Amino acid sequence: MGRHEERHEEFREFAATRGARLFRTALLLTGGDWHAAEDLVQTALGKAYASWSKVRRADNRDAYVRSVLVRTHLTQRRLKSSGERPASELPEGAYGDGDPALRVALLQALAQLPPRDRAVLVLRYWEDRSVEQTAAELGLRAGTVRNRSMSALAKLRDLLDGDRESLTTI
Amino acid sequence: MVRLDEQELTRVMGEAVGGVRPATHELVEGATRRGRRLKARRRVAYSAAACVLAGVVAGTSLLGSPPVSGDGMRTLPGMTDGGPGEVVFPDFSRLPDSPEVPPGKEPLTARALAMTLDQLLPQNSENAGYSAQIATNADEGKAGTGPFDGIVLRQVEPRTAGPGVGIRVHSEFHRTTDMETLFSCKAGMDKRTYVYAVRTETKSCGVRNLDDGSVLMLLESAPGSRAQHAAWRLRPDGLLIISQSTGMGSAEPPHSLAEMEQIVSSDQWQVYVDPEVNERANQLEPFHEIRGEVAPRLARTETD
Repeated sequence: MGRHEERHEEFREFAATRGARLFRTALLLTGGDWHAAEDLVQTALGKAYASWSKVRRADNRDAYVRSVLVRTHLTQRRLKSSGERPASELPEGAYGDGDPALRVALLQALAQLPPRDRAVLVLRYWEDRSVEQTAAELGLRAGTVRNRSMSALAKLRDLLDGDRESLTTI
Repeated sequence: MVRLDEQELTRVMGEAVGGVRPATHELVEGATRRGRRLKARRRVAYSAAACVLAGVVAGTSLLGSPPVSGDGMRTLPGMTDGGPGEVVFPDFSRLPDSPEVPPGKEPLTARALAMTLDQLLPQNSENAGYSAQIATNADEGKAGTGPFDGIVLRQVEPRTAGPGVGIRVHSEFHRTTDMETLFSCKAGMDKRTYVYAVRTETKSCGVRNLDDGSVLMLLESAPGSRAQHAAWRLRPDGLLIISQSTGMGSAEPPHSLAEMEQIVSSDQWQVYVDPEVNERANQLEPFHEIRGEVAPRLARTETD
């Protein structure tokens, strides 16, 4: 196997093992738009493929590709005027375990936040990134991330107020 | 009832999407297809930008001539020879991986690039018109290939290989890995941009830091054929600006080395500008937008 084929296979293995996790992140970022999340993951992984010689040398490939994913999402959101599809239109069969009511409530609430606030929440609380790491990935100041995180969480809390019961009964 | 605090949000997110099972095979196939297309587009985009310089390298345009020995070169006063350890490069680690167009701004057009040069050159200097090209690549940038590369030429006479001044800007040049070698009086051709820094005719050279942390390199050839004055500036925001004034035959370059330094030192060079700037530039004449052609031999930009 030549070097090109080896790297091609290396990328495909990476994409196959990380694809699901990236998709879940994308689903949160897009506020539950399944099709936009698929498109986002394919775009981010496509960029990783095109720059695989650089990605494979990164200290943390996962973080590198996730950063591409988040930035691609924010760029797309700025360029496109179309809104996300509501979570209730998503293919139920692909969801697996979990509470459907909770999922719909959370994704619909997330969809109402500005994309950058959503990205802050997803990186901080889904990807478990520190304030500093989140700031670096989004190109923001740490203080800005703290403020956005607090205000976005408060807004999310308000949006979910009517659904709080479903959130606490799992 | 539990308050939705930080820990609770982590748990709720995990519960909401943790069990989601996408069609991974389709994701991988789609990503591979997109990646291949992106790679192909990058090659074409890079070639289009590089072809402008291909003529240059062949000595048929304003910016070009063969490389380089460096022997017998004089170091300009107050400067170093450059190379590893001689100057301090800005810390580019905080620059974003995927730069975004700031709100309310838009990428500079080729005509606006020419207008910037027009504003920086002496108003009484001869001008037979501008030619310019912007090569944009909205995907991940890399040195010499975007997301914003621009070239503008202003000629003294309306002929391709005549004397004049040329500017190149590269918004992502900070991603290059061997800047210390390039910013050196021993530098040869930069394989990402196909620009020769130091040439056989270069007789004086110097590299130093500017107050804002930029790295400046000045190059001056001896009087004679293909005489040239050039200034390179790599700014802390990652933007590389190259300004070169080239003579023809035994004629001196139309602009001095000091003028080239002044041009690259200007903060007017911006990649993203207010829409009015591009609009105003529509008045600039005479102007010709360069349409690059693919140069296959220069298309090998991928490192894999």
